[in-house]
Amino acid sequence: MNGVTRRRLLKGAGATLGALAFAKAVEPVLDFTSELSGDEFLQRHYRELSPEDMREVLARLEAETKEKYGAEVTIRDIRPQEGVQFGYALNLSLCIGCRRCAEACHVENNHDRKTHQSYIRVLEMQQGSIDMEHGDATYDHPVPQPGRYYMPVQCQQCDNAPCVKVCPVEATWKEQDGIVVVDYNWCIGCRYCEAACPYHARRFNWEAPEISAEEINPNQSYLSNRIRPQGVVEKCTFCLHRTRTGALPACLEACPTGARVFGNLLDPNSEIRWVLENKRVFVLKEELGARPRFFYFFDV
Amino acid sequence: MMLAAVVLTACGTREDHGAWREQLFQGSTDAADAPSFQLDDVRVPDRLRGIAAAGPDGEEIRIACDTCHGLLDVELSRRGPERLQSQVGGPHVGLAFEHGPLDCAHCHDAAAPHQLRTADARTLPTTEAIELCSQCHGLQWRDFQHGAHGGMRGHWDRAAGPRERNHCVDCHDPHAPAFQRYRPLPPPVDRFAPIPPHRNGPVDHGAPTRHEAAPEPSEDGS
Repeated sequence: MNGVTRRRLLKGAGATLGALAFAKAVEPVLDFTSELSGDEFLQRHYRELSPEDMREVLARLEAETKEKYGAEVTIRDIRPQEGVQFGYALNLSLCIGCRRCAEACHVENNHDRKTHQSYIRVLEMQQGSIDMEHGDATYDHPVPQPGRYYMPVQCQQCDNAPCVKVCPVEATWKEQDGIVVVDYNWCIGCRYCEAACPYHARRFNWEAPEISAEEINPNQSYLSNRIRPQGVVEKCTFCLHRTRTGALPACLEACPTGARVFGNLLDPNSEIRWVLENKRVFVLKEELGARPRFFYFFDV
Repeated sequence: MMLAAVVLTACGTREDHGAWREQLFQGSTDAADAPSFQLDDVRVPDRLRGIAAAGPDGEEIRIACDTCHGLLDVELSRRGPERLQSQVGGPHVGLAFEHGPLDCAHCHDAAAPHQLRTADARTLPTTEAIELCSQCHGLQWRDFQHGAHGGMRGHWDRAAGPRERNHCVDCHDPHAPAFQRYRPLPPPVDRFAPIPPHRNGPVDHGAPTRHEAAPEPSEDGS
């Protein structure tokens, strides 16, 4: 007996192998965190950030945008206004399918240039059907075509939002003014929300957005159009960096037909209220019970 | 030089017609339901201030209607625009006219064609065309007053900032008001909107193209 028993030898070999396997297993994590600053890693959820925390976070994000994209931007944290509930309506009798709303969204919200992404998908629809699953989003011929109508679809800001319910980490929620938002720094990129959304309104950032410094819209906010990191989900926020300051969303301003109507649902004199009270209004996929804030209507 | 002076004077100011605008606003019962509607938000397009022409250096200038019509005594034909184009010529050549069964004199004052004439025989300057249009297009006028036609830019919250509304003739040529068909902007490239198979080929109006041959980014992404 020289002190090295068969049992001790096996234990030693097992421990060595185990340690090696563990080192190999955590290697991607170490690689990942080398790109992630400590502050970012330790950042709390949006709704737990104190005003001082938020100031630091915004300053850090502005610095990161400067470093990665070479652009001077202002990122604000704009909170909902009291007594405001946003609603949006779209006149299908007027829409001609020109995709200017989608383009305006692309520019306003600092989308990836390569994929030409946008929160709005304009569907070319067969007249007589409102089944959006049979709409064609890739048409490329002069519009409007006879026998077709055009239905732009974006986030419907549902009051009973399926996407919010499925998020395992509460990285997406409904704000007081009705806008469903995402904390891009809290999102883990599982894409449950993308799968849950019946309107295909959410997008996933497969890669970090590519956008040149001069094309970046410098008017940004934390919850809306700041440049999203890779691996998170994004969505239409009714341009909250604009609308929470009283301005109209970019897609509405771009519409050449005036098919889009936006406003405060609580204001009885608002344009949106007039449409809801006087036009034939419907919501998409009403049977799902998601209770959208986005309405479609006809002129007749 | 003299021409430029005439152009400038003929443009006039909008204050001259303030009374008319006030009357219009109060006379409409719909407007009472739409207190957020303000006629002053509506922009006045250049084409209502005269016709476009090439200036001395090739730049586009506007020649006010009064420049010619103030000097000439033009009597309007009741026989439609064909005569106008063939006989008068000049700036009105090439005028597209597709506005239902209307004649020139349905909208223009027969004695002074550079002015408009309403159905109740009031004369309006061209810059106030919106009232003339609303005589027939009442439903559009109603929707316009309630912000549901014609589009806008600026603010939904009137307390936060101003708003600019399009004029009828910003989007509709009064002589051929139907929207022309045109090529849409390119589609996005994503999972639900794959690169269209018909991008380089003939347009297939049949089956929808969604989900067909959609490149699934997760395959190469991870």
